[in-house]
Amino acid sequence: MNHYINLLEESEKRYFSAAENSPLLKIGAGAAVALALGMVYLLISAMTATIREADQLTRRWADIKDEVSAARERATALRRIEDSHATLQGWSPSRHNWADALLRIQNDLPEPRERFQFTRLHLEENIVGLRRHRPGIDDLVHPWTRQARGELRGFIAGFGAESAYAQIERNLVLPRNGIPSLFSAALLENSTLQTGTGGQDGPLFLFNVSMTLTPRSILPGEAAP
Amino acid sequence: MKFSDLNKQQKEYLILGVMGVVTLIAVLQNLVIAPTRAKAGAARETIGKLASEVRTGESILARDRTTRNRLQTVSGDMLERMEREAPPDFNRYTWALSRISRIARQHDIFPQIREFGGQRFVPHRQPHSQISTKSGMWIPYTVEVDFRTGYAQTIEFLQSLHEEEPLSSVGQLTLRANPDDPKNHLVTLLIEWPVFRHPEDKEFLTASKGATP
Repeated sequence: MNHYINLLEESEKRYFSAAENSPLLKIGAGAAVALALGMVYLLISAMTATIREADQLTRRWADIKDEVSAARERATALRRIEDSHATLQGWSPSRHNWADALLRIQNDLPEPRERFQFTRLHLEENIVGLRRHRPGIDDLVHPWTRQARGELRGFIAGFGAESAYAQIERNLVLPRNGIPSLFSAALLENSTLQTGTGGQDGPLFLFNVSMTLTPRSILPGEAAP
Repeated sequence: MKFSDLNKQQKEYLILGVMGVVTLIAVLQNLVIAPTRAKAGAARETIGKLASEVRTGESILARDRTTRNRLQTVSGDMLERMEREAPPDFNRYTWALSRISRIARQHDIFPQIREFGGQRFVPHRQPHSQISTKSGMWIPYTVEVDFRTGYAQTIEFLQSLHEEEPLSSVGQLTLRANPDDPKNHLVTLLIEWPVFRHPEDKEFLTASKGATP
């Protein structure tokens, strides 16, 4: 029970009584507002940082874009130039030595060599990547490959032509003194007995041997066997 | 404490306070947060798009000095080799004539030499800029050589050509029997050297050779 005279008006009495009864309410409300504002501040700070980062990236990209484009073109050009340089470096060591091929054909004829008479010897080389290069279809910049084949045509007189053919086929592809042959294959294509022959000197055959040389890549380290 | 316990002034303060907070939130949302969020969204997109590009670009730029150095070295090497061992841009035929004749004379061979009239490669119709990454730099310059000589001399000639002309290739070789002169065969050769397919390539190499890395 109150034992004093209350001079406060009713409205004032309630106001102060509310404040006195729950001061935490006001502190809580203030803290909630401060927390909300803090969170908003943090959110805005994070977003501002993102915006700043994007601005920096945009400026950096604008600064280096042209340089990067030029550098990228240079790098692409360098790759092609290095390929072409490798082709040029490999050009000489990858060549088939035609002198060796001719010598080999001469030396690998079975004895007696007088039985043979050549009418035509043809060798030709195709560089895969060079001769029939069509951009967008067979894009082969490097490495190119030398492929070569040939044909030997002539006459062989006397008996035992079949065994002579077999010897030619074998001799041309076998290694000599441990060095691999230039030829990877030799094959008798045709042997025709010439009419009106077959007397005392034996028959006369027109023959045709095809030859394939071992393909060689045009690479700097590719040395002739 | 109930709302009804508050006096009129307290109620007014409370309502004003709530309205103030709501207004503040609305103002913040519309004038600050929403525009900032939109900008941040766009910024995130920009970052996603540019970050890897900038990173790659910077690594390309970091390697560019090496690229320039290598370009200069390789270009110089290629141009020097081409100048020394391949036909020049002008008077190629004269150049080939003198090179082959010199070797032929060493073996008492008297050749007929002419520029090869056929096609030894597929010419490209597209401009250089469109196909430069799809084609090698080289095409063959070809001459046709005819002479009459023996098998042994032909071998010697071919060996000299192989040794003295390192960039030459024999594209075709045909020996035919000569009924009129059995000791001297009819020899036909296609001899070729690599030359630039596009003049632009040589210009680029020349510029790269002289460029400051």
